[in-house]
Amino acid sequence: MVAAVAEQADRVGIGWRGPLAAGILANLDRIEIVEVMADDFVDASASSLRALRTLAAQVPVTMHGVSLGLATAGMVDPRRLERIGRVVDRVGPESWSEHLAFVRAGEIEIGHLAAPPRTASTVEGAALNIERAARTVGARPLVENIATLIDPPASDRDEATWVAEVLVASDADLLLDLHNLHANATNFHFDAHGFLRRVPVDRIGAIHLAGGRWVTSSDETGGERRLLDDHLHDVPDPVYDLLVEVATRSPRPLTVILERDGRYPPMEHLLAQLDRARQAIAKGRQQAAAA
Amino acid sequence: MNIPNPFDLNGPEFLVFYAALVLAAIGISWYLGRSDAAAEAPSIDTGDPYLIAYLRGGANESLRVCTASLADRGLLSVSTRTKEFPVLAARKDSEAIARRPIEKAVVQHFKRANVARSIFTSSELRDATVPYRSTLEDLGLLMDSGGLMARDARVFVTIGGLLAIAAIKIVVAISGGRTNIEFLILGAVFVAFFGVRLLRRSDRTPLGDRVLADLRRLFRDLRSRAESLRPGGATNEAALLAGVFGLSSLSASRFADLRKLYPKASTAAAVGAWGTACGSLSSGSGSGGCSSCGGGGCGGGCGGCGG
Repeated sequence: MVAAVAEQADRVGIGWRGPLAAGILANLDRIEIVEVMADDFVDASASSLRALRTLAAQVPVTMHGVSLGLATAGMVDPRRLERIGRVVDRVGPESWSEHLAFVRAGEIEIGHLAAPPRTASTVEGAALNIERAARTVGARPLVENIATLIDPPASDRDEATWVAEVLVASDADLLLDLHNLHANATNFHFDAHGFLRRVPVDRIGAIHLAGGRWVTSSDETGGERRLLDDHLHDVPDPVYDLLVEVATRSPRPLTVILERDGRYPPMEHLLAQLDRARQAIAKGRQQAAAA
Repeated sequence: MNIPNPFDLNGPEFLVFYAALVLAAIGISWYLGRSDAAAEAPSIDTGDPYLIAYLRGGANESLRVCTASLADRGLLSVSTRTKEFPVLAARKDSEAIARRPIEKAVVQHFKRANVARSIFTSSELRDATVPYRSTLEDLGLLMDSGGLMARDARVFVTIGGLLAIAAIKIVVAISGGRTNIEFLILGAVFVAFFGVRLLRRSDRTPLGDRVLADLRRLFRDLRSRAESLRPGGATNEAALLAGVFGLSSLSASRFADLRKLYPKASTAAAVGAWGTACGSLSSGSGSGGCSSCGGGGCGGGCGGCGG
């Protein structure tokens, strides 16, 4: 069951990863929330889940899923939902989230978070799946915008429109991944700040920060450069700028999570990025107060 | 139904009966002491290696980890001229650099060079660990004086009762002219020795046992990286590793000098019953801890997960 959360201030935290565990536990005075990968624990032993619950007693925990594939016209796998529900129930996080992506077609796993065609059909499908998820898990997930290297074919609307429609249809809040937004805006030449003006800012419940790298497609496909969201690099400056804007416009307390999945720098380096996120939020809040 | 008097059983039969009784009595006594095992874990300072060391092994372990940490950070210089008795001495500026009260107390203790193991006989240092004990008692992780008395009363009744039954049988046997009582005497001695040790194993409450096991799981990845941790105290990871798992978990090659300070603790199987059974909390389902991959595509990190 998802824990009740009291009225909060803005919080900044980090994704729970094994190599970072000691650094996180040693610095809980500088980390206000931890995001745990739900899928890593669907087959975990009772004692592993109990340890996570003990973690949740030390610091607020939110859970994040990657495997449901909510954004499809088809039905989300009920068995996967039940397994996620069990993990959420045992650990008692304050919230949980999933991606607006599809990850399988029929029985074939893509092994990747793929952007669905942005159509009325996938809006409706995502809303139905979010409702199923909310019923099974016992709490509505926050839904995350994803990064894509390919503009999804067969789309009849842009990303901002599609995401806003899903939020309205599903009544879910948005987990806004600012690096995904930055990467998509860079790769498909739209204004990320304009995107922020078109999604309902009062529905932003949480934020992801991450980094990425440039990749180049093969010569046969034009040798085009694209920004890849890989979670292996530091958060770039434009992402902090976006965070300032969200903090300026959002009426709600923000929960910001730094995602880092490898090439781990010293913990102090990651803590410095959390501090920078705090500064960006403070700057945005000051701007809002001054306006 | 006619229930036979157990004291009328012959020698081998009574030994079987007595063994079953011992198991049942110790099992019930152990179970009765676990009333708080299902309680929610409290919030503790997971960044304090000495607090965790105290939970794991009491005042001596807390002092041992603290001394080793100070030596690792160069605040105590180590002289190992005599192999059995390494000598420690505080650097001049150590007291100003030491942060926690227990660290300051240890530095103070080694202002005059002294053997490493002298920490175990210093009343001042023992006093410096009292706040840890109080904190852990307040959190329900260690038994307070009332809990200890209740535990000891339970042990006394259990073991005393078992010994009394053995004694009665011995008297009955001797008064009946039988002398084959050696195994029963041996069994009673075994019960007295191991039963007391088992039931008074530590001052931790069942909740304390559980929280310590959970901390070992949460820190498990650190243990797997023990060989890569470097001496010098640049981070407190080595101190945390020693706090959670004991000095023996430190790399034998990289932390050779530290391990020589307390050779017994450095070679003990400090992880004990929990250590080898822990599952990983880092990545359980093949995603490598990647936050956004849909399953098999992560490898050592996200190769463009989009999430």
